[in-house]
Amino acid sequence: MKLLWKYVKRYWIWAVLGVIGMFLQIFFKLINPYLIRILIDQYILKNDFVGATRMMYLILGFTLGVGIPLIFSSWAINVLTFKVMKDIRMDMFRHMMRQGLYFFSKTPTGVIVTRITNDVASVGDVLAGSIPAIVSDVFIITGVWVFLFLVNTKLALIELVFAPIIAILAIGFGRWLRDLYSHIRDVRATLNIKSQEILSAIPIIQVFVQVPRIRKDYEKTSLEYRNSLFKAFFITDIFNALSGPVLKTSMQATAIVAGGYLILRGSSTIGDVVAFLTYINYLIEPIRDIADKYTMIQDATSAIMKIQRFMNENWYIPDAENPHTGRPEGYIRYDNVHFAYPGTKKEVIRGVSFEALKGKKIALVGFTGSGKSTLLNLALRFYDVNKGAIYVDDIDIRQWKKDDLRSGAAVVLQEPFLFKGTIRDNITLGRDIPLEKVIDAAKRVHAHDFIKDLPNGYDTMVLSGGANLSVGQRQLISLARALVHHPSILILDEATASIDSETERLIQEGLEEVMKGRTTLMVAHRLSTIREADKILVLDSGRVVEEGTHEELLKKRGLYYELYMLQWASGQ
Amino acid sequence: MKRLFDYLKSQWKKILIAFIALILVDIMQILYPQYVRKAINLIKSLSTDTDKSYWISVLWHYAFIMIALYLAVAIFRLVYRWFLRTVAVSYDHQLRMAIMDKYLSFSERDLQKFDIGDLMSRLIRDTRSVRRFIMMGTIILVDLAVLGGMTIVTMVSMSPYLTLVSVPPMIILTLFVLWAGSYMQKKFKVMLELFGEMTERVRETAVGIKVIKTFVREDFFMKLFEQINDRYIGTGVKLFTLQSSFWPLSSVVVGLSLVIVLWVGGDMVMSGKMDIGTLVSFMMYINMIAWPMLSVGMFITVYSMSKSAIQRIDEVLTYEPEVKDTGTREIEGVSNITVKDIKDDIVLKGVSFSVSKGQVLGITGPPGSGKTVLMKYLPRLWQPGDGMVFVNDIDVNDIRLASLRRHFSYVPQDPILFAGTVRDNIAFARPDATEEEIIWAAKMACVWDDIQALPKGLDTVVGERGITLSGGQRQRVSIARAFLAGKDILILDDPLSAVDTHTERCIIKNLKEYVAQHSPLTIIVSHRIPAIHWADYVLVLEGGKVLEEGTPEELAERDGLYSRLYRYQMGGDVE
Ligand SMILES: Nc1ncnc2c1ncn2[C@@H]1O[C@H](COP(=O)(O)OP(=O)(O)OP(=O)(O)O)[C@@H](O)[C@H]1O
Ligand SMILES: Nc1ncnc2c1ncn2[C@@H]1O[C@H](COP(=O)(O)OP(=O)(O)OP(=O)(O)O)[C@@H](O)[C@H]1O
Ligand SMILES: [Mg+2]
Ligand SMILES: [Mg+2]
Repeated sequence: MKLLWKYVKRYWIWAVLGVIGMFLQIFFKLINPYLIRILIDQYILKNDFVGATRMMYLILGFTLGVGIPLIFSSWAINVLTFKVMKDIRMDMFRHMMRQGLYFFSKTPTGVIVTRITNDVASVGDVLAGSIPAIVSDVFIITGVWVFLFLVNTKLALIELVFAPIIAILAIGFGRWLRDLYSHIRDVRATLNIKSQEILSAIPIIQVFVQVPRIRKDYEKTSLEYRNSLFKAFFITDIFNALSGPVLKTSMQATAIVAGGYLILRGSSTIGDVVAFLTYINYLIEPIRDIADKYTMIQDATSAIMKIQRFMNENWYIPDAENPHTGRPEGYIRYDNVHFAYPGTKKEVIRGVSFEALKGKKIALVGFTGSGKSTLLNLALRFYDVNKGAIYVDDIDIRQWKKDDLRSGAAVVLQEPFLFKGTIRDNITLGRDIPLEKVIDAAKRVHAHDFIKDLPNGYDTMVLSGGANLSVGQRQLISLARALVHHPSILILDEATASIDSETERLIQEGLEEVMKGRTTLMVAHRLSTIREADKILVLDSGRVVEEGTHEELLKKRGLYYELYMLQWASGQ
Repeated sequence: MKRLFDYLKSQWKKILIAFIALILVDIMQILYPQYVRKAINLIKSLSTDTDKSYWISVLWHYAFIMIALYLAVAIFRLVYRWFLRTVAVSYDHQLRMAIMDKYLSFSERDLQKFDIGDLMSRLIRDTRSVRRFIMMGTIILVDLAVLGGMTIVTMVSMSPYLTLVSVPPMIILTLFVLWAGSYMQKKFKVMLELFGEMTERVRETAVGIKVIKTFVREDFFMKLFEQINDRYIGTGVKLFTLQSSFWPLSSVVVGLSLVIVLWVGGDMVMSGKMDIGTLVSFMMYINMIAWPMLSVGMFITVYSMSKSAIQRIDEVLTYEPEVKDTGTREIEGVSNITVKDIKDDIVLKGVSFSVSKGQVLGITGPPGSGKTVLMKYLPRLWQPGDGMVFVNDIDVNDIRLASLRRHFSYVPQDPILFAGTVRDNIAFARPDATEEEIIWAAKMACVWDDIQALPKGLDTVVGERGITLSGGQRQRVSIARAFLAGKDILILDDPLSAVDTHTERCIIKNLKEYVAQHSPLTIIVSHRIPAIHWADYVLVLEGGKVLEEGTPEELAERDGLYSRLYRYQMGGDVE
């Protein structure tokens, strides 16, 4: 709730306007039965035509007048709500983007999406719906009692008997319902997680003929959802059927009987009784959909708690106090680096040291899972090392301004990722880069050939994840993306793994030119691509076991030699 | 929509009971003001009446009747709600399963026409709107007809004149409601779409975060997100201001009717043409008739929301999936696969080949040459044209889908892993597999050593899409999954792209052993020559056509792409 307050505070003026509007509207509404009472007792029953007409105008005025504060307050409240929702969403989105990668590997995407979209929407529902409704309920309930006492104190005192019943119904029943609905919410969340998982794996489910099993599992959850809905609805219905109508008639019948007695004693009028009948109608309104309000508030409270927890996630990789800024030159040095992924104990990098002089090309080779990708990720400070340090231009990367460090580098990730948008946007990533430069980069990596054949060339739409391109094509585009950003450090993580050797060679030539003057760190399983490297590091279980140029390593007759021989040995 | 009516028809008994209960409720509600009228007239005559004890007993009598009436209202209301709820909530579940069944029949290409987030919301949010519509819709319609009709009859019987004058505002109300309804429906649709867009934006940003971070594009993505939010506010404020003031605003119109009744009726009372009790009960009736009138408004709100939802659900339910399970033939065992001049509108321009049981077909070719697309046609993950793909010389389109797919083990190019344990992932096709079998499969895929080194071995949770595994580990888990499935046809699409030479050789060795022992029909797509050079036959694709074909030895000799690739990779220029 503190969280919500922080945002609402910014727009307090709208909140105040909304409440004033609401107050006026309810006042207008409640004054009418009072005037009708006067009309009946003083004018109609006394056959005073002139007075009656005057009174009628007043009543008419108030009736129509309700509309103005009504629309006004509803507008103010909605403006407030939408502004608050936007602010929360923007803050959450920014917060998410600032998180380190660990956050993303431990939080399912579905959860992130739900927090920023649905959970904020529940908060909006409450801000625009339940909270105003509750405020208005409080106004109505107090207002009605005030008017009841104004109309006829004795009759009001008699009706006061029902007040505790109203209170008990409103509070007691609501609590009970709340638990039922919170169960429903849990089942719904499970339903959501399951459908997300199914939808992202349909081909695999189909080809391994697991459709019936997956379906049955989903059906079980859906049935549970149905049953818990049913239960909650039934109890809500019992509550609604009993509370509203029965309470209302009991109070109205009381008004008539007790009113009759009082009229007999001369301490009440017919107008009083009529006014009571109307006011009682108003009084019942607030408890009619109390269950809805409770559940909405409950929804929002738990949503706010989840949002709060989301905002408290802190897996930032923080910048230093006075970070070093500027563009890196490209001299990289690893000094006895140790690293274990957060949440695990096992070190996957165990004391790696090497240096890459400016403009040199360093290659990493090794078994799969030996830590090559990890080592590259560390250079960009996606994670902080546990021991040792990495230096760029002789400055510990923890002293660098993160954005500057990363801007100086360009990376082709092992798994290329494309966004929904045009090919061109995917290469420039929204930067203002002229088309010629984009084409030039694409030509160098031999992506231009296939792009120009696409229906709309560089403006062809790519689906999210690059789903309508082949894996190799995705890789070519991410290569072009890296080149177009003119980095001083180039990081290639198996950038040509899904590309045939012939195209690979052509790309190699294109890259040679680009790599001049830039420091390059590259991972490759195909040793042919790295023979020209200035230095080759052989990694095994997180350690550098051999280091040297191609020729040196071959002479050593170690692991590299073995791998190399294996590669050239015929497949038979 | 039609589906909904069919369903409602099948539930007619429950609906009938509900309607009867609802009508009873309405009748009793109409009787209520009559007793109020009598009571008030009684009170008024009181001052001149003398027999007080008689008077009091009558008043009590009325009061009891009033309470009894509403107790009955409560009970019957419970009855009709119970039945309608049963109908609505069961439909909700049925609808959801129908949608899910549809999704499960979608091909990848069908799925690409939608966003996943959007498809999810159809399963839960949209079905909820339909459920509400059934509940509210039926109640409101019956209320409108029964309560509205009977109230008007009663009012006319009490005073035709007064009825006539109080009606015009109600007409205004109806017009207003109609206008607002259509306006709101349009805006609702926009809101739903914007919300979907926003959802997709967040999802994509989270999935592509690594790219965004490496290129320091956070600000740009922030801007994109803000743009959607601003559009959302623009539409939202207007729509919700109208929606939330809609209901109370309608009651202003009702108030207007009341004032008219009071005005005209007051006149009539003063001139002795009507008694005060009638006037008060008349006002109650106006309130009562206002309810169905207002509920027309509510109906329209609910309807406009559910109409978009129903449309969205209909869109997927009537969607014709690319792959239809219309085949009826069964196949036992697989002796061969034949592809005859397969063409499509994406990339393939006439590819033919034939493989038999025990044989290995290798396929290679530059990126985008159509290798993956070709593979997807075989188990009909995508729909091939008629007369193009045959298994055991039967057109795959004539074979029952499950009977066809039952024979495939597939290693897709993107290894799709689930957010479960390594064990769940390997045993996906065979949930009943024993521990030994799983270990055997992991060893076959040369990933067993890696798995043992993981924090919890086979029970390590791999995170979404297998995010906590290295690229090569992910790929090999997917290979192990296919080995464990152990079907007659084994398709491997670029299975070695992310592994080192040593592991590559290990997998190829195991694969050869496996083929020798089980003699499945094997197709390997790869850029790696060692992975296909042992095949019985090799196709080299380019631009959707077969560029070269033959035994690998022939191709290596012949001057062409294959021989060049062979030389690059196996040229053996060591000393
Ligand atoms: N996000 C992560 N959380 C926890 N463990 C991880 C994570 N990413 C990788 N690992 C583990 O760290 C080890 C090294 O992984 P890494 O991706 O660096 O290997 P690699 O050398 O790049 O392998 P490959 O050649 O298969 O890509 C692996 O055992 C892997 O399971
Ligand atoms: N879902 C799709 N919708 C439209 N076009 C597609 C789709 N999938 C692939 N394509 C197009 O079909 C062509 C062939 O793609 P395919 O994935 O078969 O290539 P590939 O030979 O497997 O290449 P790679 O070696 O890179 O995996 C490509 O030009 C690609 O753009
Ligand atoms: Mg890697
Ligand atoms: Mg492919």
